Amino acid sequence: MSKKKRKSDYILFTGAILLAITAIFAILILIGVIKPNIFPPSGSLLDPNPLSSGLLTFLMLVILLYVGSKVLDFGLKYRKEEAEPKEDKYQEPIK
Amino acid sequence: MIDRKQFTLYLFKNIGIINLIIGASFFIFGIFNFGILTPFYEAQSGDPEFDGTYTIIVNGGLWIGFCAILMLSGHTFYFSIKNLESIEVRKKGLDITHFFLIAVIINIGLMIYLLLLLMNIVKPLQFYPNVLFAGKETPMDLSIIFNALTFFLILSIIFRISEKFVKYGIQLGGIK
Repeated sequence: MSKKKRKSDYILFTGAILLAITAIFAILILIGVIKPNIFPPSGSLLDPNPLSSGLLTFLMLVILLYVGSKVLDFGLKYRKEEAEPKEDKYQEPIK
Repeated sequence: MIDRKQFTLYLFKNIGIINLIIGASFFIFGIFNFGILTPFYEAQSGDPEFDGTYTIIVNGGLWIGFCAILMLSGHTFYFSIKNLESIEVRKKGLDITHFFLIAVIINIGLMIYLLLLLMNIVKPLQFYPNVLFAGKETPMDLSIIFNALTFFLILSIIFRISEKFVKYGIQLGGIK
């Protein structure tokens, strides 16, 4: 296996692991193992802190998902470039 | 030895059909028996009449959302078979069947969880146990709509991840 191919494999693995971590994190939240507690509840009757924590956790998951998919996109692009090498832009002028 | 590609195709086809059937049947059941659906979340603002209507609307929306996730994931899996048939599985380097297997595992887990939710065996997570914003100014218990929204959004993230694994697996297989 060429060095470039191995590199693209590593990038793709990183992207896949990022996505898998996002999924595991979301599953743990849904099961109730992890409770989003970024802003601790104040204890008052109309306390919006749990609401903010939940929505912020969702946004963090979205960011992780976005980063994972971008890494995968980059890995795919890298592999494509290896399969079809770019033509040299600066060709020597024909004399 | 089992042919990996054939095995993946078999999994995709069956999971797609099962998801579509389960999603569609629960959706149809919900339409005809809207009144008897057990609520996932219950409003507690104090006004019984208002709370009843509000609970039905929020839980109905959540029910439709769960069915939609099931049907969409079924659609994704079943209709990606055509793309999957055209790609080749390499033995050297990164094996794309790993991508598909992760997608399948996530999807089966999600399907079982949604099934348990729709049959009311498992209760959805309560993010905000307190009555939210219910006072004289807003006689509405907003906690149940935020609970439902957050729960649905986090569920949809899991669905999106399984979809992305399928998409990237197919794209990766297309590179010669």
